[in-house]
Amino acid sequence: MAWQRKILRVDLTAGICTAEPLNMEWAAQYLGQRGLASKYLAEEMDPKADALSPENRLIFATGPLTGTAAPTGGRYSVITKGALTGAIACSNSGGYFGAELKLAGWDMIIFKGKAPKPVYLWIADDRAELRDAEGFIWGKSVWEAEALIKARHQDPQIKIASIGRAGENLVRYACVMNDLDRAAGRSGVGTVMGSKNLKAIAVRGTKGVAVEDPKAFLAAVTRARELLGASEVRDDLAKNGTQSMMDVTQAFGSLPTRNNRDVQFEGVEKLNAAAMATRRRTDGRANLITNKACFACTIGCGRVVRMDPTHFAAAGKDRYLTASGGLEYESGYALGPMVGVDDIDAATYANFVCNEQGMDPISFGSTVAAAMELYETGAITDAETGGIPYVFGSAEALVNAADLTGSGEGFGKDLGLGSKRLCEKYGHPEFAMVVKGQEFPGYDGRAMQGMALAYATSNRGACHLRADPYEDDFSGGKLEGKAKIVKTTEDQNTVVDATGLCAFTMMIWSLEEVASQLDAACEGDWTVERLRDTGERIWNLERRFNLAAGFTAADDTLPKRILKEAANSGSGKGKVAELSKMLPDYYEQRGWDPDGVPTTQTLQRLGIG
Amino acid sequence: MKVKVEFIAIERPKSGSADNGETIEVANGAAVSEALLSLNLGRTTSFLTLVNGDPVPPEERANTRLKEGDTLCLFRPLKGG
Repeated sequence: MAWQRKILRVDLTAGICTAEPLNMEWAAQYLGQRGLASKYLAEEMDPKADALSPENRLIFATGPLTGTAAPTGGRYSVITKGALTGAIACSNSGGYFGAELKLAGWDMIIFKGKAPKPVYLWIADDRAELRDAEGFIWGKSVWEAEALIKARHQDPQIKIASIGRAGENLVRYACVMNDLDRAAGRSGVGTVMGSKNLKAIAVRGTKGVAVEDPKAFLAAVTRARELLGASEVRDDLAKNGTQSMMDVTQAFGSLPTRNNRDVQFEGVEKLNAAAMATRRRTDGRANLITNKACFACTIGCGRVVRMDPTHFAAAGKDRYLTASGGLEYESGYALGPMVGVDDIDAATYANFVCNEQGMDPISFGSTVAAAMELYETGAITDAETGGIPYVFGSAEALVNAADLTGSGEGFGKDLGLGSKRLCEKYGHPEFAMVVKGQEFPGYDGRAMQGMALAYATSNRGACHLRADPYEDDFSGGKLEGKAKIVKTTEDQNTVVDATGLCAFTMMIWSLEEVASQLDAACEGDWTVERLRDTGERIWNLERRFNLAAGFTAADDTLPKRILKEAANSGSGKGKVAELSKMLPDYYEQRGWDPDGVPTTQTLQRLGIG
Repeated sequence: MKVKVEFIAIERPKSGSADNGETIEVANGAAVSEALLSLNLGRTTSFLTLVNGDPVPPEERANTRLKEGDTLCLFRPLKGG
């Protein structure tokens, strides 16, 4: 149990929805969510197919613990071939949509084909049908679409995952948004959804999720919840959100600033957690109103904020003056230091627009930063930007970019390409701070060598959540140990992404807590060792997909800036990322050959056919 | 000698320790581990340490000597979000 043992197949071309039993043999090997959906993806599509072609699959997958009482057990992932990267993509989101889908009786939804006209999928427990979106929600923002769907179906409890105008306009880093401000954000999974003429999934679930051993499950959940409750890290996440990290990376010198030209930002104190909690002079209120939590979460790191009503960005736009999802570390870094902007309200506005239009703020901010460097070098001029000076530090440019990109107007069409395509178009590919086409999160790999390796080897392109080298990097751990740490934590993070739990629990739990809850909830014996093996199996499956798609070891690399130009301050001053010293060890740790290809023995050991 | 103490992104961690940004007095040539003891944090392993922005691994705290005017930063091992 814990799985619903049922998946929904949606053929968008034919307009047909069918139920099918979950492949439990695969579930025993790949668990759920990121793992199991990657298995279905790899089995069903040609990895060489264009990400925006009807042949690509789009999978919404829950984990076995999604929808249960396990703390943070509300996660789902969107798995597809990424529109931004061309690599396997798995974007994970919280909120309430994933749990609702599970409570409706489904483990996952697999979309194929392309709808002849815009549609949305309506699910009410066992019933699933495609409905016309044209003239209803197509062309609307995420916020508008959610309100319209709830009004049409006369049920405020409906949970919705949708794309905004960015997804419709095929902005390469479009998200799938749910619950207004939660996002399956990375790699352009929303772009794939847009390419399929699929606007939204609206779901109402009234069933439960049965667990194998309720008494043992309750005991495991209680223990896990107590650990979270006793943790000072949890207290900090609830109070400050992930924005606490900005002070850490600033002190350490790993805060990407002005397109990674710098690694520390002089304006941090205007953007950090303390700044979010400080009352403004204009209206006496702070940016931060309160925190909020996702389904079954006892951490509550989410930010609810409001803008300064006198700020120029919101003038005449009342919809931005209500409480909504606020800056977290990654959005805060990308819409602040990365573009050199220290205006918290401009960053908050850009973040609101990213939520409203369904854009990944990391990739968006990083692309704007690349555009600013192109502008400052003269490769882009006022002719392209419509007369707006795209200079580092310009809040006006950031706001302008946010206004134009989702709707694909003017220079926004270029910005919607993402950093890699934008910089190639204007003759400076070296300005793109990307791995496999995906923009950097908020860590510079010169001070954080483990993170440099994690970025380079991430199967979905640069990512801060694929491995956990944080503590070792921040402790000044030696280069020789990095490959093992990255490999081990990649496997661990991967399997957590297959459970339905939030990665943030692992700041406090070990895999013991994950195993004890999973073992009680699910059939079969789920030990820590089995979880590690499962994570490694999933990682290698993803790698094989990418190799079949055409990626090679040459793609396990970093931009020249990080490899050749030394950091100019902080703990990494005078250093570059020593990737060439870590990568061979990493391949060896993984059981891959020197070309980064899993050996036959490794695949056999993991049971990958 | 005087050493400045910064708690990055954390509350004053324990009674008896310094406030954020406070300058404390330690013995000349004191090691990082000795400074942590004087802050009532000697047995705490849940913090990471920087001296003037450079990381000091836990196993090197006993051998890393502080100098007059150094800044000792303590922070939690947060992970990305």
